[in-house]
Amino acid sequence: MENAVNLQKTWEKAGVWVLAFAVEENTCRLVYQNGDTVAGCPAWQEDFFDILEQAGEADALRRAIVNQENWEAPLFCHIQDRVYSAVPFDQSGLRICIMQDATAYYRENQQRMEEAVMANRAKTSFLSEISHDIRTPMNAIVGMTEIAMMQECVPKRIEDCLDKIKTASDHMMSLLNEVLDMSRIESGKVVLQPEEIDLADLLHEILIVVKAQADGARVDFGLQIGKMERENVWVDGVRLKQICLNLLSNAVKFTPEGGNVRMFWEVLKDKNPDFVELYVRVQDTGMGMSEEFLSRIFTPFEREQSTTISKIQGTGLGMAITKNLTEMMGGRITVHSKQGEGTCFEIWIPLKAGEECEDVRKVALQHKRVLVLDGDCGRADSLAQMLQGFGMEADLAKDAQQAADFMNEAVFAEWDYFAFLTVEKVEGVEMVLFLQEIRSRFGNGLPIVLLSESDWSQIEYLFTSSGVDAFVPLPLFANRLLAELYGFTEAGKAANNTAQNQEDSDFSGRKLLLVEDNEINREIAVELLGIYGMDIETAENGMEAVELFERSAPFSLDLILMDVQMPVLDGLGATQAIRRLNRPDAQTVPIVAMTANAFIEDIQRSLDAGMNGHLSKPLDLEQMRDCLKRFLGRESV
Amino acid sequence: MKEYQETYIKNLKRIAQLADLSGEVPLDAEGFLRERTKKQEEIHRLQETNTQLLRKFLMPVLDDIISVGEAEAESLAEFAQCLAPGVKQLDLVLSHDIHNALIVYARKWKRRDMLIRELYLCAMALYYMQNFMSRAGKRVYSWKIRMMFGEAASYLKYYDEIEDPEIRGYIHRSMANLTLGDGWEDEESGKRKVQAIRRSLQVLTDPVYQKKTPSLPWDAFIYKSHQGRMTAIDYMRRGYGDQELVREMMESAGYVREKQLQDSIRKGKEPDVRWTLEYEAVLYHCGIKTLPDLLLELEKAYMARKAEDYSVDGIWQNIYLPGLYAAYLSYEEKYLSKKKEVLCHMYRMVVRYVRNAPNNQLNTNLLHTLIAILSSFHEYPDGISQKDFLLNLIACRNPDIYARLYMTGKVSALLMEEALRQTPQTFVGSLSCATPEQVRAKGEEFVQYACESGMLHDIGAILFADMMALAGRSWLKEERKMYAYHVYAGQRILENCESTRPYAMTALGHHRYYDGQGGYPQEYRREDNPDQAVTDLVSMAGFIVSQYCGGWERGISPHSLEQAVALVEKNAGTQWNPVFTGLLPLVGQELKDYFSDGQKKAYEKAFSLLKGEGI
Repeated sequence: MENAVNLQKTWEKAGVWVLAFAVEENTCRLVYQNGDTVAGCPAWQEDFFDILEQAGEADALRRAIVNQENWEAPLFCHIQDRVYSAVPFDQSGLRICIMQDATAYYRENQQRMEEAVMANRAKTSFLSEISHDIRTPMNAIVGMTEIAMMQECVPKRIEDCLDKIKTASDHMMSLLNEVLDMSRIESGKVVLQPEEIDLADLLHEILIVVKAQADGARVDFGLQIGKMERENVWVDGVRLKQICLNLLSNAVKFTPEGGNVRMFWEVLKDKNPDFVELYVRVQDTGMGMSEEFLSRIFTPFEREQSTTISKIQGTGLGMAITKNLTEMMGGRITVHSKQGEGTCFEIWIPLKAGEECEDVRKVALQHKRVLVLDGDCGRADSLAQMLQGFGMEADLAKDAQQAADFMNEAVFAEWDYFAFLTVEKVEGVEMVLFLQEIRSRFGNGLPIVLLSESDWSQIEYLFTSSGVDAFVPLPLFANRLLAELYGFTEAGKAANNTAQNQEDSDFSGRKLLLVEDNEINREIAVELLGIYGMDIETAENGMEAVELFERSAPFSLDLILMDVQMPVLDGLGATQAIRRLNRPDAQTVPIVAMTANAFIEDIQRSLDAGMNGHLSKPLDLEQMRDCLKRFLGRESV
Repeated sequence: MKEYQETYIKNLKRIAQLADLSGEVPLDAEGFLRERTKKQEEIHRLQETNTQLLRKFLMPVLDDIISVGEAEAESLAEFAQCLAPGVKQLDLVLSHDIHNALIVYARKWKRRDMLIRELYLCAMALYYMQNFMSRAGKRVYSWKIRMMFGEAASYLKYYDEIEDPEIRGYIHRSMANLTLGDGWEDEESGKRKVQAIRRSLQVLTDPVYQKKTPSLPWDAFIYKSHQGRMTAIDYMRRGYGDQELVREMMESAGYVREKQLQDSIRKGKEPDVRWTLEYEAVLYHCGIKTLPDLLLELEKAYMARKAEDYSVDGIWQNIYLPGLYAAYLSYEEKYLSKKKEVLCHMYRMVVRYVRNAPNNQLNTNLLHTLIAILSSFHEYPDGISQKDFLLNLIACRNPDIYARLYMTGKVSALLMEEALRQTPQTFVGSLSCATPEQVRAKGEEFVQYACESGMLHDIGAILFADMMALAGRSWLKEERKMYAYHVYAGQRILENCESTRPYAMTALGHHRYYDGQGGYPQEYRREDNPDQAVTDLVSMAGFIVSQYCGGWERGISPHSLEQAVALVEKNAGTQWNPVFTGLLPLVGQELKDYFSDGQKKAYEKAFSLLKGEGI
């Protein structure tokens, strides 16, 4: 206390104010303040700290006092139209805070700052516009170069030039894209668009890109997957992919030939049960970074200054973009690096968990047996474990011959495999031919699932025409595999068929009278209606329909579908007869005409006869569903 | 073909002939109306005959399509093709319905070749049907078109088993047309289109297929696919597309350009100006040329036009080109002001060109090209407004619709005058009026507003006039559904510019019931329309006029004024605003006076505009 008093005496003539705080753990307590000596300001007439409290600035000051080590610039406290700067320092176990009227200084700097912000905005906007404008002709340069490179008999020298143009323009494009991206982030134009995605698909897409890069750079790339508490999450997939690819591309870029890059993925439980935490680690054995540079790595346009690095292309924006995007997602990123040894980036991002996988899928797959063809024994084993986890059984074949043996044995033993799971490349066999053979032998009854690291859109035509029914990306995720396999079960097929309209298209238990004289037409209609689980009665002409309706209990029929042209009594006559009946539902039972005749006046005639609607022949599922929804579903009137 | 089918087609052709208005502008409206009534009576008789023919011979067959024999099915297929042979359609919807029925037949009896052909033809018919709706900015059948082409294309896997080269051709065409029904409006459908064209070109350029079916026109298929890909500039205009697409676009543009040049050398003609400009546009969108470069090319092409050329190409160069030019100007706003004089000059020249059209003022191509330029129409404060363009240059090109609109305008004005006297409070909220006194004070403005609303409320119908002209029988349910889209078309045109925007809601809502319980479209909510009372009034006036004039194409026979008014009064409070139905007895005599020669005067006005008076 004495120290503070002495200090005050020393400074009082200089027009400053001194406060002393005792700091205990995460709080602080004001122990001294003196304010008699500074003239010219009404605030000094009262207790200065009370005035700070009234102005709502005391909490900020307390926080700043407690976290003194985080002070990078003076704290400014606003009291009415004056501004005071606060500078803390430690002395004799107390934290002393010197406060000074800095109104003039502050205003001058504030104006400069506003100018700087404006200038920065102008820069961002300029960069954004110029990048966009340059990108358009750059697209043409890249495209034209590619067209030229595709020509035959190009002289060697020109080919060489084209190669160089291609490399340079690709680089230019990536620079432009990064500048554009950064400027969009800075100007707040990037808005995250979370949607429910399957992490299996996202990781697969990442791998397609990074594997090609690693192969090109002759760097060994490996992926390890830890615990996956949830595979479907809510996230902006494009931006998450961008984060991962930035880290991975950097790792590949800064790792010399023969080195390795490892990625580790894990999805862990979060404190909030609706959320999970994604953890990604990207580790390389590259050149590493200096400690000095590590403190600036996330600052835009910063690049390590060294002769090796200056040869590697880059804007110095990648890491700034990555950090910004991670933080926009509510996550954090850290980096550890040692020069000459490598670098390790880690990110943690909280993600909203998707719907949990239903056990019904596993029930439907219980004891189903599949044949797996994969020459990679380690991968095949983990696949088998995954399948066992679903309650399934798996036979593992490591080559085509063994797969054929398993299939033959199954035929001899008179049982069928539920599905055939295979990777796209197995030594000693041309897989496309092998699959065609399997398809022609087993027909469409055996689902073939291709497990592949490749970009499916590039091989889809080749493999589907060879008989592949479904594609599951590698690395393998349980949820994705389960969904695909479940789709081949009867329950899965039914669920897929009806999922779209399940909620309002379940008409089971409802009773319908189908009046149609033509036997085949009747059969088709029954087939179409059968999908909706309705109880269907049929009549062959109008008279029969009227009799059937009369015999039925009131309100037992929910809908009548009536052909118009029929022998004995046509549809219009039958409708009129039904409407004339003396029973409570005669006026209310919906009657819908079924005819190819869709002339407006004929439709009007059927409505005049008492019908409620019109279905055009030939009947199709869509209009049938709409009709049932209209008359039996929620839209029923 | 069967006898009824031949008769039906003969009748359709006769109807098309009778409905054709092209030729010189009639000198005398009365004589024209007399002649027109006679023609309409004949059309009506032919329509009746056709409807009966279908009812008696076709509908029962379609009802039980599964049971027909092979010969009957083939005869139906031939009939369906004759109804819509390519782009020249006689009866598009019926053609679609027959193809659709034949798909069911072919599936049931496992007739693969027939199924592939019918899927292709049915999808094409749907595509042409969708073209009408796309004038209203709607793509209703896209998914169906994709499903049908997709199914036909999927038979590629049985290519070797299919022997008929024609059927193989349908497979390739279906593959190429897979996303024909999709537009370039959004990123996803654009992506799908790009992918489909890519895949189709992959197959078309595969020598294995070419070797298997050498008789197919491979060059034409490939050329068309490249042309299709060039339309992706619409996609790029919206800022979509990636580097790969840029490369492909340039490849396709180069391919088409090369073929065009070869063709022009062979024929000793200049290359087609449309594709030349399309090529320039691709260069611009791919970043090779700048916007000023492209504008210069467009200006050059425009200056090279012949102002007296009224051929299809001439109409394109004289009318469509200014529209295209305006569309590109809007890419960078500064050019809209920099090039103001050029665009205004072009618009003035359009007006002069249209007014000078000799003997074919009623040319439908002229009308459609004029409508097309509205999508990019730009109004300058001291230039031609879209409203004038629509009222004085475009609408009159269909005298029947014009007369109906003109009469609606007059009747609306007449009703508005009475409404202002009786119930000015009804219009509080319109034209920024907060009290009945303010409404009365702006009386003239209200009358003018009602008149113009009446004249513009059904402008969308002009876009569907050719569909209506196809009506060679009673309308089918689907046709009524298609026609209902004219309200969106009208709204779309009117919303485009400042001068017509106030009338857009009336265009959208004039077929919706006052009580919101009937009519169309569902999207129109009366309570969202600040000028709801004006819309109510104009809708009612429009109904009275259209009942009076009749619409042979829509199956409406002409009614007397008294009958038309009685129909309105019958639905007071449900379809019509009771405040305005209540005015009808008060203006009975005035209406009678107007209708005594109103129709004749309306046609006279149309003809005078066609002769070049008014704008």
